[in-house]
Amino acid sequence: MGGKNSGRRPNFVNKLSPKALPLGTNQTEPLILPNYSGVKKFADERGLFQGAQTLQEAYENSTTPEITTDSTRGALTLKRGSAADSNNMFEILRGDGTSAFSLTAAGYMEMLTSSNITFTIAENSSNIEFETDDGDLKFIPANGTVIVSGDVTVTDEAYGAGWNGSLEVPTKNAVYDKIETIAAPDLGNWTFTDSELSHDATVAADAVIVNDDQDKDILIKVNDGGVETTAIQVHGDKGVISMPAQCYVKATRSTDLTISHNTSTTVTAYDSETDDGGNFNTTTGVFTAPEAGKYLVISEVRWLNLTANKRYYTTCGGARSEFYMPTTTSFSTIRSSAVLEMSASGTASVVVTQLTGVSRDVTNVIFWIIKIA
Amino acid sequence: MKILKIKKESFEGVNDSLEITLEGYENTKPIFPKDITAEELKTKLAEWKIKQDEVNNINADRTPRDPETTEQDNDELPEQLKSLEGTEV
Repeated sequence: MGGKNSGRRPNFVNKLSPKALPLGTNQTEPLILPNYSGVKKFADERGLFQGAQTLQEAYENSTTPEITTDSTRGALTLKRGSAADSNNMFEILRGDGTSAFSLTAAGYMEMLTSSNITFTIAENSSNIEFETDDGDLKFIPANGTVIVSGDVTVTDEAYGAGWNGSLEVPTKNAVYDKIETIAAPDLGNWTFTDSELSHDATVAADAVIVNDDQDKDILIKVNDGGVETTAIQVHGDKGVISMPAQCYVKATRSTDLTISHNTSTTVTAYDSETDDGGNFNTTTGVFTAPEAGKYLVISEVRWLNLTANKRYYTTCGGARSEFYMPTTTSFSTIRSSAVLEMSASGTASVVVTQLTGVSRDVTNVIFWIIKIA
Repeated sequence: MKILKIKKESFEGVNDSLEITLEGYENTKPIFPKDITAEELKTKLAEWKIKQDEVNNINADRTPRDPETTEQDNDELPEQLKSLEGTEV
């Protein structure tokens, strides 16, 4: 141990296992220590120590920088030490020092790339699988769409006897085509275009709508201010047609009304009414047609204290009726009627006139209006 | 009193007459002969207005008449039957 090179002996020599040196195993053989050159040559030949102090040095000293595991030592492990689980355990940096890939001790993996991330399965019959123990598997492209070139299948349940068992997610075009198919069923001689159902004019057969159940009616309904209302009802048993939304008015004035001589006077201030549709103003006595069409108007006026040989007139919606009283009498009722062809917002009222030379009273005026066509 | 409208009317006995619509009297319209002069019309309308205002006052004071009572009006009954009213039979 007192050789001239003992002062230059590097520290690593002290760390060498005695078993690594060619010493006598029984301690009885002479102890001949090699000099430094001999030890270094011995270590270099066996690759025992390359002199690397950093991973970078180990990399640079490696002809093929790889680590081969074996069954005894098992996996190559990176174990978190004093850092937190949220800290990166593995990181790939770009040339400019920014992170391209990182993996934390908690298992959070992050890839920051401006190019595509490609997972390629080179072997047949192998899958790329993403699994979650608890939670959804989400694809959240911040700006774009998830594009799948192959089929996407999902678990599903049969939705009808015609289901072919396919679990493929349909495209928008497939859904559209299906809707188009459903929307245009075979209607025989009928065609349905937009909002119109038409019967082929070249076909000799009549256009027929049949209700085979006598206990069911045929209804045509409308939306009246948000309320669904039956406009036409064909009763299944008798074929009777009801039009409950058709306007109908019965207004009554039971109060006496004095009519001046030779003065056309509109009967106003009706005191009771039935007004289906709300088209009659009881105060003014005026009916306003909601729609153009033909209206049956009927008025009934009771004249009081009629003078003989005088004329009395009732104008009902513009149609005038004349009544001639040959004798003096206490009262007489005049009923007049007409079918008026009215325009929308056209008006009708009961107007009475008398030519007795003095004032006369009317009472119990009744005014009916029914839209008939 | 403003004349709102003059409309040609035709009543038997008062042929080719004029129906006048006056402001404030839209529901009661006087009828005059077609050949009436303007001065005569003004005079007649003034007279008509006075009478019509009386009629309107009467109508304003009306109380509803019971229709059933009217239906049972026996004014047309012969006098000998009407005289039975209030007598014991």
